[in-house]
Amino acid sequence: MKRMRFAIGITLMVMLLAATFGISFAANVPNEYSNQIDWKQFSGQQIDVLFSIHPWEENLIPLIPQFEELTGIKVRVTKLPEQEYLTKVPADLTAGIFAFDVFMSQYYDAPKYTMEKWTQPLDEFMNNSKLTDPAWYDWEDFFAGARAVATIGAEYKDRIPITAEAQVLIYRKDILEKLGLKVPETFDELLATAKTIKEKENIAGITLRGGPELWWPMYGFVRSFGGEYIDLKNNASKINNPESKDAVDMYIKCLALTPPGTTSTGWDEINAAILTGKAAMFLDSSVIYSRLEDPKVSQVAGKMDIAPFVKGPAGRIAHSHYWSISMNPKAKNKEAAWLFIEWATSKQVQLQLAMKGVLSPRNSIWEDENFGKVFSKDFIESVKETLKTAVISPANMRFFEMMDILRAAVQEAFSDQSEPDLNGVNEKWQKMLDDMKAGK
Amino acid sequence: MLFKKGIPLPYLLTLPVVIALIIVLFYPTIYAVLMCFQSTGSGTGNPVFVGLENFKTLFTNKEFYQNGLNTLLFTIGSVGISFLLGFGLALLLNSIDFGVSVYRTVFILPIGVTPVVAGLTWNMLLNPLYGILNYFLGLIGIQPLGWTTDIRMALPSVIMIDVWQWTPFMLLILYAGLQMLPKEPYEAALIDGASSLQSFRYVTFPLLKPIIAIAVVLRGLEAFKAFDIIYTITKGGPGRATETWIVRAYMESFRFHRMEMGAVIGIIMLIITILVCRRIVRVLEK
Repeated sequence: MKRMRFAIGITLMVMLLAATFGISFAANVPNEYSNQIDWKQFSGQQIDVLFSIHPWEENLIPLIPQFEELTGIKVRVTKLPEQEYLTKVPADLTAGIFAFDVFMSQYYDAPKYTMEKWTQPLDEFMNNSKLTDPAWYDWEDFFAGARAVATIGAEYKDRIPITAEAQVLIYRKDILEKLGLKVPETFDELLATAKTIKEKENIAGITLRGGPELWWPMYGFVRSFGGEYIDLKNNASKINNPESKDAVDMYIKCLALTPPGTTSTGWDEINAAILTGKAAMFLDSSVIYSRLEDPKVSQVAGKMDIAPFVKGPAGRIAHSHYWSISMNPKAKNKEAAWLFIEWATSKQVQLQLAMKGVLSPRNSIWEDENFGKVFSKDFIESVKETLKTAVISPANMRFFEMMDILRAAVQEAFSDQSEPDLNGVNEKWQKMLDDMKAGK
Repeated sequence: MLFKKGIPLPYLLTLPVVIALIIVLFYPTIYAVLMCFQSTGSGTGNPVFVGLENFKTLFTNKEFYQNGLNTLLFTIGSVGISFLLGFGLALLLNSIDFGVSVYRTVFILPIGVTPVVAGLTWNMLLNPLYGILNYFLGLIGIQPLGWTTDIRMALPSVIMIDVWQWTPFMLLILYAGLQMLPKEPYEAALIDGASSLQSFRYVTFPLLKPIIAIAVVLRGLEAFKAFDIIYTITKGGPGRATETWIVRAYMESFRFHRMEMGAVIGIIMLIITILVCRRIVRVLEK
């Protein structure tokens, strides 16, 4: 009798708790795969996938047995270091000897890849009710920027995003507190704060990329000032309009407050600068966050904090990046390959990856309470806030070539302490855009 | 059958080599030449014949001339300095008797380092923030220098590193040349009362001329197309300060997906190389 009463008591308590926290339970990602499609329909087939070495891939590979059990499809994985990967894939595709069914892709290359028909249109699989359960897959759950990535190269989806990152502000809270400064919210405050830090402390105010990829963080500046690189719809260069010019000026002013040798700094160097305490602020990709508190690589663990990207005259518009996966149009088992893509980008798998620190392009993961236990609240709030309005760059066929022209102009202006020749950049860009339109 | 029809055995025996050459040399070269007249603007699958359009694009581009000037400065600077240093060291080595093998080994070490490794190592040494070179300069009160990151210092810096790497090559060839020189002319000069400077000017230098020419030509060819060191250290930056033709060709082909522009630059470099070599060979023959 006593035992019975105890059991009823426990049951009631659980029910009460469930009722109280019902809402938060509802925000959880369900852990079942859809039962609306037959996962086993291609059992026995085999697919070959090619990955670039990356935290996403490192954490996905241990989950692949789940997929093999679910579908009976055998997955063979090959991986390559990123630099090698980015050279080998286009080279093999050009030569027509690319032999993988599914591969990782970066959206900057999308216009080239879709024009060359190197990527398979995915809409037909996503819209096929035998292969995809739309309610369960929930495409609208991806951030707007992530959905834009899928179709950036053409009218159709040729890639599905797998990761999300955006520019955020990382700063030394100890230094800001010591100097009585508040966390910058606008570009003007950012510049003033960086100046004060440089004057009063023996440390650079900020670290920013000034090397070959300076165009990446600079795009967040340009958009937040109301400017733009390229208007893809009207095939027009916008780099010399007044807003863009102001943004580039601001970027160069900030570069002057970075540690020495800024014209060669890339991702690794700015990471080193902030992690070794040579700079007080960092305005680049959120990917750095997991390293900040890792005492193996960070000399500033415990002193760091995070805030959303700063605001410009046009608001808070950070630059974001999404890795994606694509299918080879020459794949032998396309349906099986799609099931793999669908599985790898599903909420269930994305949540498991997010728990390991790989940030997801899906909104629901950020709302999930389990995810909230892995990352600090500040981090989730800052990145989520930033990702809501973050944008991707206007990639086109000759995007890297165009960015290289901008890169050289900014570096020259920074070195000579002169105005960057954005009219010159604009002229060259416009000519390239016109050439591209003419199919040259 | 074949033999009866009269294909001589020697031709048959060289056939494998000829086929190999066709595959690895003639085919790519001809392919590159053809590519110069095509555009891949609408996909590499269907290149379009555009005549001299690619050359026009290149020649009307200000950067092409800037890259050319960088290539010229790099080649002259690197060859000139490594020649002077190499020749000086060769003369020194030639005039001492003790510990020659030790010095020879030590001087030749840099040439054994892979250029990419040399580039990465120098990159660390010259790093403006953590580099050891700036640290030592700081000890004697000199402000840290932006060796490879200052737009005016970057080209001299990469030339310096190339000189470091290739001076041993000059040393090796010139030292071997000095060792081969006959003793008799020196004895004759000594009897005639020539000073050591005069015997260098009128005996060593003229006798060594062909060797010098070979060393300079080989070294010049290498410097003209030097890629590894420049790319690993500056990637052509800051601005366009260290962007040479070969770096540009690489960027066009593998970064910008414009194989045809890379091919055009490559072919222009090939033509320049052939012309310069022919000229030098003629001078040598005289």
